[in-house]
Amino acid sequence: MVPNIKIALDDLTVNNIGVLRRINSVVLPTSYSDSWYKDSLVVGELAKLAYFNDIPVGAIRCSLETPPNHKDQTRIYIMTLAVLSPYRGYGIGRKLVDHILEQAKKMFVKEVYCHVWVENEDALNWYQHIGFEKGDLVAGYYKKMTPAGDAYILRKIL
Amino acid sequence: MSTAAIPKARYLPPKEAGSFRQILQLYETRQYKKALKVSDTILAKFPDHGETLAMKGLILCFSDKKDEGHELIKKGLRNDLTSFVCWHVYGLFYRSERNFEEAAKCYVHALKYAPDNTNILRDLALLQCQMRNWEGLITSRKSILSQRPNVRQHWTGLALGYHMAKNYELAENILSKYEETLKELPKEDYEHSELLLYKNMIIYESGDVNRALEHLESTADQVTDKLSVMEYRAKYLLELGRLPEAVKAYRKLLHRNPDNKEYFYGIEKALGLKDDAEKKKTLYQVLAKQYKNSDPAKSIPLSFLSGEDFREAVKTYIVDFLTRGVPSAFVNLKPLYTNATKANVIEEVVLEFLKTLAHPSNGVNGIEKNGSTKEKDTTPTTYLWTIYYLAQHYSKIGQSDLAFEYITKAIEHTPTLVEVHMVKAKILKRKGDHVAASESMTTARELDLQDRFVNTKAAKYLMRAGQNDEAVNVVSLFTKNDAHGKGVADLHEMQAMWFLTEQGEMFNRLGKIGIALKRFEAVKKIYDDWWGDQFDFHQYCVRRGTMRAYLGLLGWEETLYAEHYYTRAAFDAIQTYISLYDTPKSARVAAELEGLSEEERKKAIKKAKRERAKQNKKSENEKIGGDDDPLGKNLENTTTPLDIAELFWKPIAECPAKDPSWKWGEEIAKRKEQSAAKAESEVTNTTA
Repeated sequence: MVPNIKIALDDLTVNNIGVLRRINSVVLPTSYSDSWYKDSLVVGELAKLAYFNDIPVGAIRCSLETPPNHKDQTRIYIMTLAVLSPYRGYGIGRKLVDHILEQAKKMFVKEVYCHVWVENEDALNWYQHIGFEKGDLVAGYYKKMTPAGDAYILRKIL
Repeated sequence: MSTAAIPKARYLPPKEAGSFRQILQLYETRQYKKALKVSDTILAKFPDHGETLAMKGLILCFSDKKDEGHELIKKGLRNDLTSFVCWHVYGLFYRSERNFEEAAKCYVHALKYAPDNTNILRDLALLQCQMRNWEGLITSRKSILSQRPNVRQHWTGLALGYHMAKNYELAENILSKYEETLKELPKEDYEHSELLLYKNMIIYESGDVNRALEHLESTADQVTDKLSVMEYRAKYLLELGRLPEAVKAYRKLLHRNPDNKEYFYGIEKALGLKDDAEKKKTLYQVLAKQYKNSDPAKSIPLSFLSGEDFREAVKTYIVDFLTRGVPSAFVNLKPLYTNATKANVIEEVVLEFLKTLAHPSNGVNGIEKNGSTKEKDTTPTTYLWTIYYLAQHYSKIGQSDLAFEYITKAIEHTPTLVEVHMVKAKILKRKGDHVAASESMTTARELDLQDRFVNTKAAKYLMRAGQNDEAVNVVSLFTKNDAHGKGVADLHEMQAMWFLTEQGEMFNRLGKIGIALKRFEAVKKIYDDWWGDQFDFHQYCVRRGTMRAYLGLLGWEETLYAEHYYTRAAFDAIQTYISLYDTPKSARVAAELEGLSEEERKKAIKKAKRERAKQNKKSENEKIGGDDDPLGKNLENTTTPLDIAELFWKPIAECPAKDPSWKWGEEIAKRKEQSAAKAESEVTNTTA
C-alpha cells in the first residue's frame, strides 16, 4: 500500500490562529503572550501553517528585523518553528523554512537566522542539514530556564 | 344585475358608484393611500354605506391599522348584511389573519348573494384545499370550470379535487377532457409535460398499473422529465412482474446514477434475489467492479452479509476509509450498530488493523521511521483516523472509559484536529459531564473559527452546561445582530429551531419557566407559519401546473406536526404547563420557603426581589422586536395552563404521522376533568 501523502502550506488568519497556539503550546517549551499571537497576524507571508493530508500539523512564525541604522542588514528572524512529533520526517519543517527563504529572496533580505538551545542536538543537526551555519554561542539566552540555557545562533546567508 | 335589485341602503348615485369601482381598482393595484382618500369622499356623503366601510376597513388592515380596520369591516357588514362584497371582505380579513375556518364561512355567505362570482369561488377553493375539504373543493371547482372552461388550471383544479377524494376515474376523465379541448399538442412544453405525468400518477394510484405503463409509454415523447419516465417505467415493470424488462430498466437508471440506492434495490427485486444472500453477494461484487466510485455498491452488502463474508467486506470498506482519512467513516457504518454481532466484528477488524500500523506504541518512533518499516502503513493520519474511529465505536456501544482512552490518545497525537475535540466533547456529554464537554467543544471551535457547524455545536454544549450568556455570544458570531451585538432575534427570524429548543430547555432547567415557555411558543409559531405558508401554493402550483411537486408538499404537511423539533418543544411546553397546573404558584413559593426560620424567610424573599429586578433589567437585552413580555411572565402566570397545553397538543393529535405512544393528550384531559369536577363541587358548596 502506497500511502497518499499531501503536504501544503496555508496562510495564518484570524480564524485559524488557534492552531498556531495549539502547535506551539504542545511542541515548544516556551509560552507566548496574546499580543505575540496578535502580531503574528500582521507579518504576512512570514507566518505560515503546514498541512498534512489537510490536517494542520506545523507552523512557522518569523519577524522582519529592520536595523536602527543603515550600516546593518535587514534580517529575518525565525521566532518559532514547530511540527507535531508524529509528523516529523516528512519534510514539513523544511518546506516551511524553504518558504521563508523564498520570501527573503523576494524581499532582498540577505540573512535568515534563529536561536537553538545548545542541548537540542536534533535541531542543531537539522538546521545544519538544511544548510544553516552554526554561529556564535549566546550564553544565558533562555532566561526562564533554570539554570539559564545557552543558545547557538544558526544562520543562512543568501 | 339590474339596479332595481339593489337595496336602498346600498344604492349609490352614478358618480359615487364610479368612485367605488375606483376603490376596488386601487385596492387591486395596492394603492392604499389613494383608495382611502376616495373612500372618504364617498363616506362624507353616505357615512353608512356598508360596502365602502368594509373596503376602507380592509385597506386599513393592510396599512398597519388592523384594529381600526377590523371595526370598520364589522360595521360595514352590519349595515349591509346581504352584500357579497361585505362578506368577501370579511373573509379576506380572516384569511389575512390565517383564520381559515372563519374565512371559509364568510365566503360561503358571500356566495349566497353572488353564487357565480369567480373570484369568491376561487378564494373559497383555496381555503378548501387548506382545510383538506375535498368534497367542497369539487363543488367550487365545478362551478369555476363551467364558467371558464378555456383555462387549464380550472381543469387541473377539479381533477385535484377528485384525485384527493380518491375518485380516480373522474379525476382522469377531467384531465382527458381537457386534452381533448387542445387543438394541437404542445411539444416540449414543461407544463403540459407535468400534466401528463400527473395524469399518469392518477392512473397508477387507481391501481391499474398496466394502463399506467401504457399511458406512460404512449406519452413519453411529450414528457420533458425523462428521468421520471425512466423511474416510473422501471417501477411499473417490476410491479407487473415483467422482470427481465425491469432489470434492464433499472440497469439503465443505475448507469445514469450509480449512487442511488433505490436502483440497486430495484435490480435486486427484479432479479428475484430477495433472501438469497449468496447471489446478492455476487451481484454486488459485479456492480462494485462496474461502478468503482459507487458507495452503495459497497455499503449495501454490509447490511445483508454475515459471518466471514461480512468480516471480509467490512474490512475492505473500513480500511479504505481509514487510509484515505474520511472523517465520516463512523457515520457511514453507524446504521450497522443495531446488530450487536456486526458491531463486534467491526471492533475486531479495526483493532486488528490498528496492530498493523506503525506508531510509537508499536515500537516505531516517528522520527526514525524512514527506512525500516516499509511494509507497514506508516502514515500518521491513518493511525489517527483509526483510533478516532475506535473512540466513536466505544462511545456508541456504551464503553465510555475505553472511548475516552482512545480519544485522549488521538488528541495527544494530533491536537490540532477539530474532529478529535468534538468527539471528546460528545463522549463527555454522554457521560453527563456537560461542563467538561462544553470546554472540549470550545477547544474545537477555537481551532477553526469560521466553521459554522462547530460554532453551533459549541453554543449548544454551552447551553447544556447552563451558560446562556457565553452561548449567545458564541452563536452571535454567525448571526445578524441587534444593537447589543446579540443574535437571538435573528435566530428567531431564521427559524433556528435547534437554538430555540435548546435555549428553552436550558431555561427550564435553570427554573426560568417564563422565558423557556416563550421559546417553545416560538417553535410552535414557526410550525404554524409553515402550515400557513402552504396556502400560497394551492393557487400557484395549480396555475403553473406543477402538480407532482404540489402533492409532495401536501404529503409533507401531513407529517409536519409529528416532526422532531415540533414534538420536542411541544412536549417540553406541555410538561411545563402541566406542572404549572399541578403546583400552582402559591404552592411553589410556599415549598421554597418551607422549613426556613423567620429571618431566613425574609432573606429569601429579599433575594428573590433582587433577582427579579436584575432580570427585568436584563430583559432589555433579550427583547425581541416589539415584544412587551420578553421573559414570558404572562405565560408563566397563566390561569389556564391546561388550555395552552392543549393548543400545543391539538395539531399533534390531528397529525396523521403521529406516534400512537404519545400520551400527553390523555394527561391533559385527565387534569381537565379533575379541574371541572373541582369547579363543580365548589359551585355546589357555595350554593349550599
